[in-house]
Amino acid sequence: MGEFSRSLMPVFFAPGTRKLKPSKWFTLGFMLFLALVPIHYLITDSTWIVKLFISANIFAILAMSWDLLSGYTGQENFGHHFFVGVGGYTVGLLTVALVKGATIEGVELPAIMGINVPSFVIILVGGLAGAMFGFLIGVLCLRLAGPYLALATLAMGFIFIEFTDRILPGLNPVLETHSTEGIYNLPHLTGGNIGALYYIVLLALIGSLLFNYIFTRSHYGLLLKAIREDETATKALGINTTFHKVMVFTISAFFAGIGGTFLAYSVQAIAASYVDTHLLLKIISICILGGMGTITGGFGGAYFLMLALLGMDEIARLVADITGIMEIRSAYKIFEDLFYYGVIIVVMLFMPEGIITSMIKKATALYYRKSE
Amino acid sequence: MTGKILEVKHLTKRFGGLVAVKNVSFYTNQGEKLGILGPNGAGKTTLLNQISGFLAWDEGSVLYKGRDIKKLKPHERAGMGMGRTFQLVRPFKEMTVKENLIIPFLSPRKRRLLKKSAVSVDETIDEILAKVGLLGKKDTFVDQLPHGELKKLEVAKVSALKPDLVLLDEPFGGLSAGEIDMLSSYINFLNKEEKITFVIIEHRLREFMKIVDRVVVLNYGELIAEGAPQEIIKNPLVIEAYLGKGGAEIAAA
Repeated sequence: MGEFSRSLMPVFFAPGTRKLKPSKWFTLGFMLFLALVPIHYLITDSTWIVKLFISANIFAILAMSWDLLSGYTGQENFGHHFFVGVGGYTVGLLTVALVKGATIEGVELPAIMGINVPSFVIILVGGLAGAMFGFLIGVLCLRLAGPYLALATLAMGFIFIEFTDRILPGLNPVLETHSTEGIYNLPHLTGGNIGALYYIVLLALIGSLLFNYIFTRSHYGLLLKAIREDETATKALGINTTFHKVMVFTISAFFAGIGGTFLAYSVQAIAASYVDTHLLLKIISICILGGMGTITGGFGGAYFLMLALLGMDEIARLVADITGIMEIRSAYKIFEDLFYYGVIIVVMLFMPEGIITSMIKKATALYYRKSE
Repeated sequence: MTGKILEVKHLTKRFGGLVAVKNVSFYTNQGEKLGILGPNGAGKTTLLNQISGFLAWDEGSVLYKGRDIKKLKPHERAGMGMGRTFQLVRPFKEMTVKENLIIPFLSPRKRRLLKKSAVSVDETIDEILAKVGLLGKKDTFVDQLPHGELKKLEVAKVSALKPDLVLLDEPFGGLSAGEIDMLSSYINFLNKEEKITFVIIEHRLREFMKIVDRVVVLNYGELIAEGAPQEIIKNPLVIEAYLGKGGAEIAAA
């Protein structure tokens, strides 16, 4: 057993044993549950639950990628939607440019290259394109930290939104004729099979959870934490913090790009309004809800937010049904954002560690007290 | 290698109109414990920041192991075996004592050294912790350590780099007499057994004079004296720097 795997043993197993830690059993169980979600679709033939989980899975990927850079390494990136957008637009533009026989709004596209590029190549290219922009922005923002870094990356996000919203459509006649605001009616990733799409996204989710988790729990994760805690002291110990910061920027943007391609594929469209600051706020909120700098917080937070929004919607419907005032539902839709940012403020005030992180801590403490 | 490990030549640093370090030259011999003494604001920390690469200088040069290091970044200087601590302790707060000590092991320098040795990271860390007396607190989070142990941890962290030269910025600040004794003996141990050269900055005289071999004294950014600790205490210029004009007569009386 090498140094690397030996250092990971205590992460997954209880001290001195080969028994999985309780939190890991829980994650395994949750993964099993996620794998069984499409059963709902088989039984009821309604797709909304599966679609909801596809969206939550994608947000889990995005939240973990943001957490790696901003939560774990402490580099506040407020331009994450940029990288997601790069992934999404890679799907849109490559489909328009390359895929033979692709149609937008019923009109067959004059495929420029006329080659049929497999979707998984497009997804990979989307990730790599995200990584490339992550690297560039990482290098550009090398000397910035804290609020300055946040503002600079936020500005880059706005530039991206403006570019995709106003300039990009004018550059390509096909885009201009068929859609002014975005690229719609993209081909379905799995030929209309929503179950297959679900499992592909789930696979990507498991891959990115495993990578991010092992990456941050290894010695390398400690190094990222050290950069967050005190960059000067880390430098003084002979570590090239600049190099590692750019590297994490790149990796984080890679996963954001991958998530972006799935975002585009899952709704079969990409537009500037899909990847604007609302998306960024949602990603950050998920991490705050779940707990920052833990990876698992971003992962669990995505489902927590999905449930919370679903629950609030149900409550609004129930209240409307009981009182007979149907306006409550439509009013709720308007105030949904307010509710949801309110929840975040409450969590930040009373559970600064995040809901998932505090739950894991309490459950673990309880388990070990019982077993003693 | 014998001879001068560090040579500072005519170093000058200006902050606007203030000259923080003025034409300072000194050297450190291999295996020596050199003290840099001076009252508050004498430019000691500025000097140390320049040597370790966190601050550029306006004029002069610094030779480390005979090489001009002006263009090298802090981590590159550390990679050449030049470690440092900070006046205020800078532990990685949300980590345990052991995790704090893992960080230097992740530097390219340490990885190179580890490749050659048969001992694992864990064993080496335990060894260091045992020597510095923190083995029992291996898994304690550092925010629960008292100030004296944090100071020791900082020195342990630097020593983990297996440096050739360590710059200590006020290592005894805020420590009790007992804690100073323990830290001093650890520094002496590193100096003798691990052959580490030390440059130690302090503004307090008593404890400091016991462990250094030779002292240079700074005042208002200028080098005013150099010599053995016993001579330095008697030097009128040094007494004047600490007590003001006429201080020598008062001290003699």
